[in-house]
Amino acid sequence: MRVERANPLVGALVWLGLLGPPLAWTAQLVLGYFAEDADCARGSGGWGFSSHTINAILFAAAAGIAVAGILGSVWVLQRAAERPEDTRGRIPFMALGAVLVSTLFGALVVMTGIGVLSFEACRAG
Amino acid sequence: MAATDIAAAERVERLERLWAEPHGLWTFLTTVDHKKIGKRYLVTAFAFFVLAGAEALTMRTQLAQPGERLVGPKEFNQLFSMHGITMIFLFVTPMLSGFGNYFVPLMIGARDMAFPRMNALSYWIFLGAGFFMYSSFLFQLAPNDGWFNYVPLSDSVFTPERNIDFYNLGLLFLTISTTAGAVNFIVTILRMRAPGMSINRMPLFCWALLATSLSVIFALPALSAANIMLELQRKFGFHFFDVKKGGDPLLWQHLFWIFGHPDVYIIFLPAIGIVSTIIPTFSRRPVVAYTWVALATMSTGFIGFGVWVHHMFATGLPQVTMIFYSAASMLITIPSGVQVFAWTATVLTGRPVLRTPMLYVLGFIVVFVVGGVTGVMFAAIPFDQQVTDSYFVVAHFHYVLFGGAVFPIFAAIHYWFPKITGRMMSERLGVVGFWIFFVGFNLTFFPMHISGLLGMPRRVWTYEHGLGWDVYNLLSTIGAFTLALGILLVVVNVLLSLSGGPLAGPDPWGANTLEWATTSPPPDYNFPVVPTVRSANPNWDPADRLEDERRLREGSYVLDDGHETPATTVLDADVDRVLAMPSESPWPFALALALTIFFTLFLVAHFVFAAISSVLIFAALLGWHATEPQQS
Amino acid sequence: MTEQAIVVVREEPRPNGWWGMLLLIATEASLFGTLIATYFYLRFETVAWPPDGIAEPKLLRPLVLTAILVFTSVPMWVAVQAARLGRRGLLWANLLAALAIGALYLWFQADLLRKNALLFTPRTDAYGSIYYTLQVAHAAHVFAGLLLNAWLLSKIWRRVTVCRLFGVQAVALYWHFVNALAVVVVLTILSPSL
Repeated sequence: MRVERANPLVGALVWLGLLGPPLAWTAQLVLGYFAEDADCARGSGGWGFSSHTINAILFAAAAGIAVAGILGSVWVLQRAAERPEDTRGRIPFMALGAVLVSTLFGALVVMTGIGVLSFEACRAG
Repeated sequence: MAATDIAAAERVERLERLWAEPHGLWTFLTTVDHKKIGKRYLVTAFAFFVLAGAEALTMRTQLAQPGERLVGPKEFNQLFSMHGITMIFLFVTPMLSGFGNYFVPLMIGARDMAFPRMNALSYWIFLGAGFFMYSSFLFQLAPNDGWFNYVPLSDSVFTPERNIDFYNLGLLFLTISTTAGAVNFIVTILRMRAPGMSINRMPLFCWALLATSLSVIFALPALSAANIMLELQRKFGFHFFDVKKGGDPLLWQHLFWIFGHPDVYIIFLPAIGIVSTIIPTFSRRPVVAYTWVALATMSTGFIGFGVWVHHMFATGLPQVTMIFYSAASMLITIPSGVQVFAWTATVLTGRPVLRTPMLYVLGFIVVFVVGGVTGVMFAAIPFDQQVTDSYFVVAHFHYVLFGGAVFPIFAAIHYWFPKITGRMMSERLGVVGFWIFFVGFNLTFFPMHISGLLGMPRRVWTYEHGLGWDVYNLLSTIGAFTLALGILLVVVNVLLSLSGGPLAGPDPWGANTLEWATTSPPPDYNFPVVPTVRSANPNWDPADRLEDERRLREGSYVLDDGHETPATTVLDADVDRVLAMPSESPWPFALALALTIFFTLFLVAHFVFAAISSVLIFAALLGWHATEPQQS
Repeated sequence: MTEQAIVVVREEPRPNGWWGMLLLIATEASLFGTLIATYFYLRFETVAWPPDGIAEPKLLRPLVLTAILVFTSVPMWVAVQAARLGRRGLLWANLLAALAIGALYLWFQADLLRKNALLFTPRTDAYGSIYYTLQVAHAAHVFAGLLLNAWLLSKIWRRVTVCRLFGVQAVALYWHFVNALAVVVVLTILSPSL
C-alpha cells in the first residue's frame, strides 16, 4: 500500500509531475509579467535589461520542467501497470493525474511562451 | 446472535446520548452540529437569493421599455451593485458552503467537521456580515459602484457617503467567515475521511470543494488587501489609487480581479462537484474518467489564478502583458471541456433516469456550454475590446454563473431534500417547475446577447426609444418574471413536501456515495459505526455495508466511549488517531457578535470605541480556548 | 491481494490544529504577497523611488533588528522539543525568551517608525502609504505572535497536556512564518538602497 515508502523515486516523480509544471507556469507568469512591467513602466525605464531575454529563459526552464514531469509520471504509470503492488490504486491514480496535469500545463507554458515572444516588448495594446 | 444484537442496540443508544443536543434557544445559539449549521446556511443563503432576485425583478421592470421611471439612476446603481454583491457573496458561495457543511462529513463517513466550533463561527459571521451590508438600505446608502467597485468612482471624492464603507468593511467582515470555512473544509477533507477512502476514492464533490477552498485561501487576501487600501484612502487620506500622489487606479482593478477571477471558480467548482455527484446516480453507473474529472477540477482552480487580466483587456495594457492572460484564458477551457465530455459519456453509456435533479443537471450542461462558447470568444483580445461593458458580457456571465451555479444548486435542492428532511419532493411539480425555470432563464438572458451586440451598455438605468433595443429588453423582462415563477414553484414544492411528502427511506435514488448509507435525516452521530471504503462508489458495495453492520454488533470502531471520530492519513486514509470532538459552545456566537460590534463602530468612524470593542473580541477568544477537549 | 478494511498506522500524526495553522499561514502569505506586489507595482509607475524629498531608507538598523527577530526561532524550536519531551521548565524558559526578544524588537521597530514619521507620513504620497502599510502589517503579525506566546505561557503554567502540546506546535509554526516574513518585508522596504 505504501509504495512511496518502498520506493522514494516513485513518490518524488509523481509529485514532480503533479506540482512541477503548475509551479513552473506560475513562475513563468509571475516573473515574466514582473519583468515586462519593470522593463516597460515609466518608473524603471533605465534599468537596461531586456524582458524578452528573461521571458525566453523562463520559457525554456518551464518547458524543461514540464517535459521532465511528463516523462517521470509516464514512467511511474507504466511501472504501476506492470507491478500492481498498490491494492488501493492510489499510485496509478496519482501517476495518471500527473501525466494529465503536466501535459496541460506544458501546453500552457508553450502557448504562453510562443505568444509572449512573438510580440514586441512594451507596445501598448 | 440475539446477544450481539442487544449489544449493538446498547451501543447505538450510548451514541444517541453522547451526541444528542438539548432543544431550546440556548442550543440554537451554541450548536456545533454540521447538519444544523449546514441547514442554516442553506436557508439564510436562499433568503438572500430571494432578496437579490427581487432587486433583479425591479431592474428588469425598470428596463422593460424605454424611458421608464420606476426607479431613478441613484437607486438603480444601488440595485445592480447589491444584486451582484448579494448573488456572489451572500447567496452562491454560502449556499454551496451549506451543501458542503451538510454533506462533506456524511460523504466521507465522518461524524463532524474538523473544527466544529469554527464552523459555527463561520455561519454567525456570515449572518452578521449579511445584516451589516443590508442595513445600508435602511439609510439608502447601499454600495453603488458595482460589485467590482472601481476607483476613482468609489473613492471619497466621487462617493463621499458611506456606501463604499459598507462595501469595504462588509466584505472584510465576510472574508473571515469564508476563509475559516475554507480552512475547515480542507482539513476535514484531508484528515477526516473514512478508513480506506484514499484520494483516488474521494467523492468528486469533495475534490471540487477542496479546489474551491484552496482558491479561497489564496484569492481572498487580494480582495481584503484592496478593501483595506481603499478604506485607508477613504478614511485616513492614504494615496494608493490617487494618480496625483503617485498612486494608480488600475492597481485596484488588478487586485480586485486577482481575487475576482478565481472567485468565478469558487462559485462554479462546487456546483460542478454537485453535477459530478448527481450524474452517476441517475445514469446508474460510475462516472466516466474519474481521474480526469478530479484533476480537471483541481487544474481549473489553479489556472483560474492566471487569467485575471482578461477583465482588463480594454485598459491599455502592453500587448505582451495581455498575451500571458489570453493564453491561460484559452487553455482553461480544456479542463472544463474534459468534464463536459466525461459527463456526456457517463449519461450516454449509462441508463439515464430523468428525475427532476437530472433535468436540472442536463439543463446545466446545455446552458453552460453556451456560456462557455461566449467565454472562449472573450479570450480573443480584439473581440473582447469590441463587446466589453455591453450587455453581451451580462449575457455571458449569467449563462456561466446562473447556468453554472444556480442550475446545479437547484438540482442539489431536489436531490438532497430527501436526505435532509426524510421526505420526497413532488416529482410532477418538480418537472413543471424545471421547464418554467429553464424557459424563463433562456428568455431572460439570451436576448441580452443581441442587445449587447447592438450596442446596449451595461449598468444603464434607462435608454431611449429607437435604438433597436426595445423588443429584446421586453423579452428579457418577460423572461425574468417567468424565471421567478419557476423559482416560486420550487419553493412551493419544498414547503408542501416538508410535511406532506412521502417518506424517503435511507436511499431513494440508489446513489453511490456514503451519505445515503445512513438514515434520512441522519442521526446526530451520522453513522452508528465508522464506515469503511474499498472503492470510489462505497454505497454500491453491499459487502462493505454488511461488514459495517457486523462491526456494529462486534463493537469494532463504533467509538461509543466519547464524542469521537477517527482521523486518517492524508493520502491513504489509514487510521492514525481518534479525535475527541468539541460539543456545544456559546463562544462562536459571542465572537461573531463582538466582531459585528467592532465593524459597526468602525463604519460610523468611532475609531476609539472600535479599538475598545476589540477587547470584547479578545475576551471571546480567551473564553473559547479556556476549555479543551479531553484527549485520550 | 485482498485489501484490509481498516489499517491503523502507528506514526505520530500532525494534529488538525497544525493543519489549520498551516492554511492560515498560506492565506497570510498570500496577503503579504499582494502587499509586496503592490509595492513594486507602485514603484514601477513612479519615476523617483522614493519620491523627491524622501531619503532612501538606511540599511544597518533594520537589518540588525531583523536578524535579532529571526534569531527567536531558535528558542521557539527548542520550546517545541521541550514540550514533546514534557520538560515544562525548559519549555517555559524558551517561550519567555522568545517573547522577551520579540517584544524588544517591536519596541525598536516602533521607535524607527516614529522617527520616520517626522520625515514623511502615509499621507505624503503613495510611497509613504505602502511603506507604512507594509511595516504596520508586519508589526501587527509580530504582535499577534507575542499575544499567542503570552497566552501559551499562561496555559502551561500548571501542566502540559496533549492539547497544549498541539498549541505549542501550532504557535511555533506561526512564529517561524512571521520571522521568515520579516526577512521578505525588510528586503522589500530596503530595496531602494540595496
